Amino acid sequence: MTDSLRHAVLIEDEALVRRYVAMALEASGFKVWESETAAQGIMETATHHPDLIILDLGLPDRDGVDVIRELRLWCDTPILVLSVRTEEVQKVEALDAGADDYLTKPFGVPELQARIRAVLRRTPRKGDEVPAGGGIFEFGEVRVDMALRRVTRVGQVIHLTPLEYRILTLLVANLGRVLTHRQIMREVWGPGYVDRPHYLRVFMAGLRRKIEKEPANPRHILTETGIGYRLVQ
Amino acid sequence: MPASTLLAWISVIALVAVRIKEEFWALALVGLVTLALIPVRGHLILANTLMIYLLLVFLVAVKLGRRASVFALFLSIFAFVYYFVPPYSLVAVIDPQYLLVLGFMLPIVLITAHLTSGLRTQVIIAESRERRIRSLYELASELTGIVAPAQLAGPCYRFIAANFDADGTILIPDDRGNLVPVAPPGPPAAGLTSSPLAINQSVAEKAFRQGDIPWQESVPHRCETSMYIPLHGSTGVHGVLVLTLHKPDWELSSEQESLLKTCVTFIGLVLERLGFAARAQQAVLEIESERLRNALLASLSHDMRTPVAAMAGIADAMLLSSPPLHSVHRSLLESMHKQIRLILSDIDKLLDMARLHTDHVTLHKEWQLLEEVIGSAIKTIATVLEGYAVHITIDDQIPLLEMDAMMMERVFCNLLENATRHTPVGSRIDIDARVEHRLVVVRVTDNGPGLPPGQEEAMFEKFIHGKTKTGTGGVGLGLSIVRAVVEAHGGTIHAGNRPEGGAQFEFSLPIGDPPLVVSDGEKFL
Repeated sequence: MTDSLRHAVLIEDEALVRRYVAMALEASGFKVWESETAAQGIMETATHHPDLIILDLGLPDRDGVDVIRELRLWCDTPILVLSVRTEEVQKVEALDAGADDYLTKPFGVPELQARIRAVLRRTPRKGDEVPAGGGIFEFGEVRVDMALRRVTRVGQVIHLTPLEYRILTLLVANLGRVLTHRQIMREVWGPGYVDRPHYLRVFMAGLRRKIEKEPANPRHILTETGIGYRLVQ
Repeated sequence: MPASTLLAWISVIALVAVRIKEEFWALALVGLVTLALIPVRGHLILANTLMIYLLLVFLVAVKLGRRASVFALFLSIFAFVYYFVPPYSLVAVIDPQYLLVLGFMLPIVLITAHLTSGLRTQVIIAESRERRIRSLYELASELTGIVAPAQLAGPCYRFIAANFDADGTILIPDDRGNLVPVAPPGPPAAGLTSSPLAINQSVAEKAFRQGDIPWQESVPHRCETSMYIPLHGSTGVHGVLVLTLHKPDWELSSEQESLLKTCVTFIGLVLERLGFAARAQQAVLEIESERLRNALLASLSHDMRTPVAAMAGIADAMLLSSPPLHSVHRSLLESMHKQIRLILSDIDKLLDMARLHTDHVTLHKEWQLLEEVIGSAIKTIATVLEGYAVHITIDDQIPLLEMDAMMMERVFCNLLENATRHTPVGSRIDIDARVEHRLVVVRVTDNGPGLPPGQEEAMFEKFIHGKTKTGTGGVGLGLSIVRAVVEAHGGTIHAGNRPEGGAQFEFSLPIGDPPLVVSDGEKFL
């Protein structure tokens, strides 16, 4: 990494996990502040103003979701939560409370690094335009021209309905980041629809059919089962 | 008194005594009273003497019955006229005056005798009824506490011997369905079943198979001197009661018949209760052992998961170390990492299984798209599917399905993973989903060697796995999780082989009542 040294606060109670996450962070050019408890982690965050917070949801002293809510009162540092496979509800709560993304244990170092890149991209350090490239965004064979409100695939114009287009642009704006059903529903349909995730599923299926080569095995619009969706390049 | 008269008296007494007891007693009483009254006949007026005889006849009517009392009346009138009415000869007997006395007294005697004999019959009936009810009550109280069919034998056989002049044997089906007699525990009591009963097995079977006909409507099966009565409970026949009569031509009185019916119903219900109790106990045992197993699974896998997950991470982190690792070390680390992932996936299956079998499986059901679940499953196990060609065909007609997406994802993951375990790399795996008769039918097929014949159902059992490629065996839980999840969604699953070769897993899910989704119209951009 060519950036100046960035700071990360790592809040994780299991020593082994903490150790290898710290190793991966250091390999990505972070200075890591490790803490074992939520209380210590909040203190470290207040002291060091980190660029990234990595938070385990299963902390012994406090509920992870609570910690996120508290942090979000006074800091907008990207938060990446770590959790185990069976805690889907908790993950969604954490994301809706303001966490930026999650990782399910066990995760590989490449996954961790990809997530870190995605959450940091969303909060550029010097106010870069998002997405870069003059409002034109490409993934796979698809090209989205935000200025012309035009979507093409292999040069062919794709006809999207207004809702499909709004979903797509929302995903593009959050490239690489997970969006919960609730977040997408609120942005696209409005707050009144958040308890009808099946609407989103049907529209997402429509969008996939137009964009993906193999809608049942998507390459770009990925489903995070029980959580939401993620667009990858 | 002339000797001839005395002789006549004695001979009549002797004659009657050997024949009928009551008349003998009536004769004796009249004789005694007459002998007692003769010395004082000068001091008594006739009316009083007659009254004494009347009292006597009345007492005879009460105590000895109608015939004896009529007999006593005639004797009394004769004795009264002969010994007490002057001139103490038979002449007075034919006096119409005394015939009139006879005419008045006869109805009184008859009515009295009738009333008392009716009363006596009632008493006898009441006593016998009480005896029966008491024995039935004793049987009931003895049977309520029993816990094994063998305990049934003693009280029942005693009851039958006491009430029906017969030997009873209860036949109940054993584990293999053969009818076997219930023997009382301990050495057989003397006199109760002295001789081994000859039981006609085929008649017993017939009575047992008679099934749903209530005993009240069915004719008891009779064979030689035995009756074969099915023992009904509310849920079917639980055994057969064999009644071996001591007298071949013996018939049941209506009272005995109703007693027998009560007794049979009672034994039937007790057998049913014992059956239920045994089954409940069995179920409790099974639930307990299942719970123990699942608790063990859960704690084991949870305790194993954390360190193994950390190991995977460390192996990963080591790959990043600088200076870069030697290529040999690198590939060793990579294969170690791969093995750790396999262990983790098995631990996850143990956890899944344990979770599926806890008391309250909570499915987070939402209206889901099958396509999305399949796509997500393929992404989840992308590393496992490397080198396999997965083809997906999904019917456009498939509506939203109400399911737990996480669980259903496991179904696809496990089925796909199972396919890779039994087929060589480069094989083709097909997922085909379509609507068939209000069901969504999903088929996961491969072009591998197929399932061993006869093993199709066994594959879904816990800890069972077929022959796998070397080194890819799992814990054998994948398919049982699949079945548990499919069944929790109201579906069914079958395994088999495709005619053209290769294994096929087919499951179906019911189509519910999917909600309507309003499209935002044709306003294309």
